Amino acid sequence: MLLAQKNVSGKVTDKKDGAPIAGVSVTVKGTALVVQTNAQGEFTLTGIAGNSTLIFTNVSYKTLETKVGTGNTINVMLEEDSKQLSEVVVTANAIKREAKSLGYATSTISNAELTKGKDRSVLNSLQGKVAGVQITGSSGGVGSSTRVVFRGGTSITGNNQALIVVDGIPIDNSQTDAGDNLNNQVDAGNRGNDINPEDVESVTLLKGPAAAALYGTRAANGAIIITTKTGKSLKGKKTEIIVSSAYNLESILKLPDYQNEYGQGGQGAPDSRENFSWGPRFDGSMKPWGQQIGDSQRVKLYVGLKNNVKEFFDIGRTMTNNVSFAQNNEKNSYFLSFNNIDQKGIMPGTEYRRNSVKLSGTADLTDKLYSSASINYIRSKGDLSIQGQGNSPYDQVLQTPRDISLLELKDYKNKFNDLNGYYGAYTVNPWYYLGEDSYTSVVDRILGNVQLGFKPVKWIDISLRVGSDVSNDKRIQIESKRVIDPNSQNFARKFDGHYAETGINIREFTSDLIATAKRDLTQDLSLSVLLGHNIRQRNVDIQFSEINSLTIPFYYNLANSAQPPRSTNFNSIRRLYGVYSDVNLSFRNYLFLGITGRNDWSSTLPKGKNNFFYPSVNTSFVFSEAFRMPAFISYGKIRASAAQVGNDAAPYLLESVFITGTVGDGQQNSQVNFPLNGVPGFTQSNIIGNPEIKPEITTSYELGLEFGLFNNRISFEGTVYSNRSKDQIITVPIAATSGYTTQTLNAGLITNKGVEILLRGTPVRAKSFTWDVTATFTKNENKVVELFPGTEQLGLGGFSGGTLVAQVGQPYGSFFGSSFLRSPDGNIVVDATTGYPVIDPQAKIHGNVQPDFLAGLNNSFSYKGFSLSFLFDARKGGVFFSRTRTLQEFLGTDPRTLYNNRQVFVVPGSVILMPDGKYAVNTTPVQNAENYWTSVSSTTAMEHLIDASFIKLREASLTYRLPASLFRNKSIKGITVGFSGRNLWLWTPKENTYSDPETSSFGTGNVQGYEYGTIPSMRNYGVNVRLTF
Amino acid sequence: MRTIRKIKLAVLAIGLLGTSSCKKNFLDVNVDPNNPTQASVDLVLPTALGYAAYNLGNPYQVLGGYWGQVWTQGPTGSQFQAYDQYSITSTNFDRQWVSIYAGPLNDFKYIIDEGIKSGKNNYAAIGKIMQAYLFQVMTDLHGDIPFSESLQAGKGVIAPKFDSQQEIYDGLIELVDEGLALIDENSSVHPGADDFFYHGDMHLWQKFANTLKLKIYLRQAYVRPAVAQAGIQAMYAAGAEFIDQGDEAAVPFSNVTFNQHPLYAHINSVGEFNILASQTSIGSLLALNDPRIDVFYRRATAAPNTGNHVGIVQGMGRLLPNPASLNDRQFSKPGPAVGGPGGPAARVIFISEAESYFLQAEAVLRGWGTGDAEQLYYDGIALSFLSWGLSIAQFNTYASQVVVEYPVAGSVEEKLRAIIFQKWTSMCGSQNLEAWTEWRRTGYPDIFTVSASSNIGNKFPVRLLYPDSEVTSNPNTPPQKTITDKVWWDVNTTGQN
Repeated sequence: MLLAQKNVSGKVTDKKDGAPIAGVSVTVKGTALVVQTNAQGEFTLTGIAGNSTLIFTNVSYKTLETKVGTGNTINVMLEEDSKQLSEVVVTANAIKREAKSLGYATSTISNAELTKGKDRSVLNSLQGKVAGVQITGSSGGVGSSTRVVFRGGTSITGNNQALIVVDGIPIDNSQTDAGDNLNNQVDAGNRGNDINPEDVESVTLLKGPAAAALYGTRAANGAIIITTKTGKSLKGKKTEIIVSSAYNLESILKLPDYQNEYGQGGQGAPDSRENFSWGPRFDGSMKPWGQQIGDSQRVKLYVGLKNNVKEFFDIGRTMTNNVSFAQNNEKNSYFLSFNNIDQKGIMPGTEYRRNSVKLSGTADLTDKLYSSASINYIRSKGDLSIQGQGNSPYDQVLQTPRDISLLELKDYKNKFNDLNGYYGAYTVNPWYYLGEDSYTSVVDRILGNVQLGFKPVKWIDISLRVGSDVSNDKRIQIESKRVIDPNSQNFARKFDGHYAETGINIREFTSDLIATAKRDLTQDLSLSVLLGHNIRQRNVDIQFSEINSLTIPFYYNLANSAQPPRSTNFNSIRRLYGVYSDVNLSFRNYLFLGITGRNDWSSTLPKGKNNFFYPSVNTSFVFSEAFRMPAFISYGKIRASAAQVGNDAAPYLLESVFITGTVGDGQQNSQVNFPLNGVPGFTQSNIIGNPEIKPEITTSYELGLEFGLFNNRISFEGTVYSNRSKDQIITVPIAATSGYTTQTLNAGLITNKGVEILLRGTPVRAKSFTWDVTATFTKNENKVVELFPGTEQLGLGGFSGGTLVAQVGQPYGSFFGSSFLRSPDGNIVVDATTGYPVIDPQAKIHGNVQPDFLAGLNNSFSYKGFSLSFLFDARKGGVFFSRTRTLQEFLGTDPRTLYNNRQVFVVPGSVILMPDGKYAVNTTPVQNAENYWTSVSSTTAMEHLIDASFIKLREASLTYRLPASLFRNKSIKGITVGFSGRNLWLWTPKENTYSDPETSSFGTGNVQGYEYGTIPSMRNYGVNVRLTF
Repeated sequence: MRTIRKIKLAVLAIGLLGTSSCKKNFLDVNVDPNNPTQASVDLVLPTALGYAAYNLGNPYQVLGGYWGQVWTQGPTGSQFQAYDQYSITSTNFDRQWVSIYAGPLNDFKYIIDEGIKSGKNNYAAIGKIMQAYLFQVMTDLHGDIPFSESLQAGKGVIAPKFDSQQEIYDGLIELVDEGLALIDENSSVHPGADDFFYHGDMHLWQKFANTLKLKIYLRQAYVRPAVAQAGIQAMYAAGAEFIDQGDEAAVPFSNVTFNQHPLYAHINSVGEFNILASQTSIGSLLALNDPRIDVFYRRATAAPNTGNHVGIVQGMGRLLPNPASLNDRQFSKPGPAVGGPGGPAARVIFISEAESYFLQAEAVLRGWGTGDAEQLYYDGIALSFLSWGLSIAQFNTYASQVVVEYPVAGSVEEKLRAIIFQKWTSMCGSQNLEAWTEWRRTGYPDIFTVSASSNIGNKFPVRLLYPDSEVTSNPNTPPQKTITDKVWWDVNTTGQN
């Protein structure tokens, strides 16, 4: 009897929300017959046996088998396979590997997780989501920079930032700032923040040398591998158009606490010119203020204005729009996106705009030849503000007495607020700076890459990928000429004016020729071998021109000066090529071994000694698949690796050079520059070249454990590691009497040891409600083990009295300077006559910038179409220097200066040193309370190191996906709306009433821990909507 | 399969071969395009002279001005308060120590080595002479300093030993003699505009070297009179010529931004209210009716002192009563001719004509040189007047006063007192460091008052400390001194110090 044949049709939907799934393969088991579901999830099979079993497969879902049954209709629901989604990891050189085969620690963040907070920067969007990395945004200024350091960093004076790779091509992540970081600093951002997060399909973080060995020299600090979207990301869907928009508001997250009892003046007496708040107590009476202009003078109530600083700042707002078009056919794919960001900052008048266009395509030209190309054009314009000390508006705002309203000063052309009439003799009206001075940065950038690949046979793949990153950054700085009447009280604020143009051109070029062969050697053993050849070049060209006095005020052109413009240029080029190999063995798909080796030749090392080799080995054992496991253990893997990475030198360190002569006394604008009297002059540079430089070597060992319990309802990833970086290339100070002040040599040893833990769990998983929890924990112990023979300390930066140093035996980044002298019991020693604390003649180490640990906690809830998540990010330990605190003490705006109602007081717990060497309790009060704060305390930098711990609500979002049933047979396939916010809430220890510990005046640099009048950090919150077609 | 494997291997092999051969020049890009690795001596000489002039004309000028009691701290500022308080630490003047050793001293060494190597002996001569000049400045300030082992980082000597001042003074004479031996007046290879002092006139450099040598010997007049005597007598016997009228050694400046007189540039940047006239100097000039007062100082411009010369008692500035009523315009300030406010085009003087004559007068007075001490004395004063644009008639009026007359009938000590007093006066504002150093050596002028704001009691400071940068980087640095520890040649007990 013939078996009955019939036609069967049906629909495949997603179990979670009932949406149809296209591209599901429906196979009749035991036959070759397979069809795909269409865009509506429907399929039809004709003429199949009545007792067939159908197999439904799709890469994103768990495979389902079901018998045909009696009817002609089969509707099935498929369950998302989360393990599958993260199973493929994009590693170094854009090579995709199965997660389980990797012997080292990685983390992968998908687009959905990345864009939850709607931040403009990929780097910011990673905060709190990954263990083992410290990511800090440096200020609330628009377009400001973000610093990313894995596992404590490896270099004493060189680069500690992770390498950023986009689609296999390393990109430029430089930051060029104006000013010297403490004075007149402008944070114009780092180039890594240009990438549009909406274009990113996934980000993989390779945390250390083991993971990044194939990248060579720049990978000692780990790598951030960004894979952008192509049409192929559609996974079966044919065409997709996404339109998304977000509108966010920004406000200041933390402003200092202020006292509101005493106002403008000094020593308890009023003084209308002052920036001090050491005047009389507030009494609410009507008093004149500011200067008398002509015969009139303003009057106001003599009260404290609690919000005068807060009022100064605007509510910032950011509008983001993104459109992307993607199509995936069998043989080719297409992706086009447009992104526009328009941000108005909290500092009035500052803004940042970014537009980007991205186009990429892939094509399988024949069954052996494939190709892809991608090009991304980004243009951004930032209108930025100076921060720090100097001509910075925020510095003037901080120096405003408690009773002066900043909004009253806004009209700076008004005779009471202009340069001559302004109330303050020691400051400049901050609105004047905002109105007349500016710093703009316009960046045009193109990133692109082209790949051509050839598969002569199925198991061999040869590809050539070439990419380039070219950016041009034009900066213009305007500092207006201030002409002030010599009889005005403000005459000392005169300024000749300054105009500067900078052109920064950076080009990176990379090429990789890679041949891979994968073969099953036996049934159990398979081998893959990769050989690669890499060429890299980086060019930096900077031209700078400025005039330091303007003839005609407000006319900004290099010709507008009595002196010729001063111009400098800087060019640098470095090249490297390398060959590398990666051999991977896998045994029964649960035991893996990988060995890599790389040899680099670098242009920055001495000829004949310019190549260096470094290997790595890693192994991973998925024991849950090798042995019988108790039922509750669904996944278990143990991994270990050992790796070495070399790092070459910066260009041009090998020879001593001559530089143009310039000599000064440390004051601004009091120097003499050559040519002098029309005669050019050169002097020997103070850095003596070293023709014997060797590469730095970082060696790292890593051991990790991953497991999943209860069908992966609980999963755990933990890694312990130990890194050693030796032969650091550092410039060390030498005695000037030798003829030079610094020498570049290989010295120094830094170690980093630590642990990273990621714990995920799903406490509740019900039919329509799930609750996911993810927790991360990172602890890194960094130690400077050696510097160079005879030296225990190396200065890294900062200022005299509060220098950041690398000290042998301490973690990298210790504060060194003099504090108050203290007795062995810890009591402050004071002078017996004046009652003021004595300054310790011996400078010491007083604290370190490194945190004790970092932690993150994310809770996500989903119920039907709603999903709610919030992410907490925490840091414990480490200190930072707060200039805000020293300034508040100096000015009398810190609530602590109210101590004892500003009457003389005995320094609490103080002692005096007796002639016999013992300490006696002190009963002498300070001679003058105000002088204690202004001349003694605020000038002792080491007394102002603040605990840098914090807890932040880093991200929160509530989104709603409209039910799929609304979109049947419509062109719109889905709408998601939501609210999201970042940095919404901050907790800091009681002593930190000053600022967000994450703000930094040094951006991405190595000298961290200085809050030197940086623009406060912001919270932002807003709405967003996403339409999918 | 086999064919394909072969091709694949061949492709890779070719790739790697291609790699090694065409890559030799690919990496040869590490020559710094921003800074040259070579510079001819005519490009380095001006910088060396310029850096020396900056340090002499600004930071050291101010130090010498305060401690040599021609300037003092104003009541409304505090920039140099520490100088009047005599509370100098090892951080002060660290920058200048570093700037001079790693700057002009190292550059002059380059000029010597490169000059000899390329047959430009006249350049090498200038290098040696100027090294002697600068090393003397440094040792007179700091005492024992690195000298014989200094400037040899290229040979791996990064922690040079400190030589005793006595050894250094012997070494200075050797340097000057070597420089003199290298001078070739007949050679056509000599500096031009790159020599700010003499535009390459090597005869004048000879005179400069001899005057410098005379100064070096006379500095030892009290501690090693036999050595000084022998050295000076030998110079006179050989017919040495000294700096004469028109031979002033100075670096000019102009009113071009960043080409201005270093003191002027500082004042223009920081403010005019710090450096004001000291009563010690003002009182002395007024008492002697010295018309040079209007060159060295500018009159007060605010009531109640408008139009007058008014000084502040040394160190009293911030202790004056009723501070709210005070401002800097009520007092005299350094005049434009010496780089004060309004004086961007003043010059920095290394050795002046008057100084040369006063040195010769002293040498003759001690019986070590030949000539007429009295005539040399008056010539010195006259040259001082002329070099500041005053007339011989004004000189005559000044010199005819009894208090200015050379004490022909007086003792050697009284004559020395007159010579040094006039030398101090002529150096007011323009050669303050040398004026103070000569006061240390001789004790004259004996009209100084301990600063009213002295933190060290009734004592004068007589040296600087070893700088922090040297202490932390050179283990051979001797134990630290105090600023009241006299240097080796400072042994005289007559006079004030």
